[in-house]
Amino acid sequence: MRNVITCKDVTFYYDVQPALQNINLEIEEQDFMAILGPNGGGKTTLIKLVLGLLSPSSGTIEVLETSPFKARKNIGYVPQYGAFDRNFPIKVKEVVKMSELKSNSILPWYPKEVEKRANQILEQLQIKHLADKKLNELSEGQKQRTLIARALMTDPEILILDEPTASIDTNVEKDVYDMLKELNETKTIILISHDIGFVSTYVNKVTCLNICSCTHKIDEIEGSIVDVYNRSLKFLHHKCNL
Amino acid sequence: MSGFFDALLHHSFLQNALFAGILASIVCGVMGTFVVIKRITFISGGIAHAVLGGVGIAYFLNIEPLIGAFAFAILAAIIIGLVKLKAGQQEDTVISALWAIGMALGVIFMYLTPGYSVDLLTYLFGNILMVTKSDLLILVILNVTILSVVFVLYRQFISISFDEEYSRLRGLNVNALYIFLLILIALTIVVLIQIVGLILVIALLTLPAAIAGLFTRTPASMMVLAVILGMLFTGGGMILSYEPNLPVGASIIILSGVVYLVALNLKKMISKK
Repeated sequence: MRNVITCKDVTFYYDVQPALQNINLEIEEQDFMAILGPNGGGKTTLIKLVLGLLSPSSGTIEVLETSPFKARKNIGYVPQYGAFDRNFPIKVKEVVKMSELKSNSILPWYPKEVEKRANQILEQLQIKHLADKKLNELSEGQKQRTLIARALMTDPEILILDEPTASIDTNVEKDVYDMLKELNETKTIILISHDIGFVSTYVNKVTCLNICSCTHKIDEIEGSIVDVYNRSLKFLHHKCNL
Repeated sequence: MSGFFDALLHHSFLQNALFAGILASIVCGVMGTFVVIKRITFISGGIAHAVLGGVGIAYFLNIEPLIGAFAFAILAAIIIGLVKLKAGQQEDTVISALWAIGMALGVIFMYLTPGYSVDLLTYLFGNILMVTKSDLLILVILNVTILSVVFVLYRQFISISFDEEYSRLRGLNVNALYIFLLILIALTIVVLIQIVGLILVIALLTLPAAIAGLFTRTPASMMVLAVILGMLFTGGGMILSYEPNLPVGASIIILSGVVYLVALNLKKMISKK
């Protein structure tokens, strides 16, 4: 398997304190990786570096054999829903189609292919019936699906999700993960989470991130999921020295 | 009320005023929608007050005040846009400073110009009844310009308003679009200052759009409703102020404000049911 993301000795400073230090990370094609860590541990910063929204203070990042900036178009990004204005007047289908908007799209409507592709994606994620709903009329799980649909519009090779299940209940959370598992058959998936318990049944790798990082293959973590969950923090702390 | 309509038939200054109100309502509803959904009321306030600096300097140099107003509005839009994109957390402090410096410049230069006092008040509170034929022409040109640009870049502006980071990731030139949007808002503000003056301009820019936002599902329908509301408010304000001879600008704003409060409560009642 080829590496789709490679971080070498990546350090990043917002200020005087490092937000990330000497991060070495390899993500292979079709990995399903969870990035776990405390708030302020640098999870979102790492994602922003991979997306080329930030540049490392030192070290190198290679995405799909090129720079993060150039690789962007092949990455689907699903930000945390909390970042949006809850009352923004926009319909589900418009949000999804926006992925195909270019600076030089002069005609004030989308080409037929985009409409068709949007319908197809909405159908795939089972939210076709919500296409004309206003975004703030949806449940949290449906909003999350909308953002995932938007990211899938461009058929990306890598899908990155920032806490996709932070504000949804456990049943819906399972639906979202099942859906991601399905997508994982063709795409590399990286997701930020702070809950290893649920995630560990789905992912094949876990990266612990707290300024420094340490990656585990999921089958190298001993014991059943419940065991790991109960002991996880201590166990992983010990193993990574974080 | 019939007194107003009688006068409207006979006085061309009233016809001009009504026409100006209608034209201003169009750009106001369209750009006000962006101000409301992108939540840049404070930035717009900064631009509005910086305009006074341009007006003051224009008076002092004895050139057309409107030219000074446009120049400063565009300059303020560019500076504030760059500050927002580069300064991060310092943003509101810098905008407040520009806000005050613009006004202070205006006051000083107007003071240095003989016969300043009447004009200063006109700019602070506006006077729709003094709109001239050439003002109307400028309004028409601005309407056409702003509406054509928004027609073409509507989705891009909505995209950067909804999710700036994602727009950037998808390759949109977010910085340029953002500054361009601010410039269009700045031009709109200059137009509106003539109607209600710079103290009240933000209310006229945001209230119709805010009311429209309560009852619509897309930015486009929000714009249409905001335009209609703006026309009703400017027209209604003129009618209400005519008999008791009240200041028109302030009457327009009071009317808009009252309708906004009623609409907020109405919306609450509807969503409770």
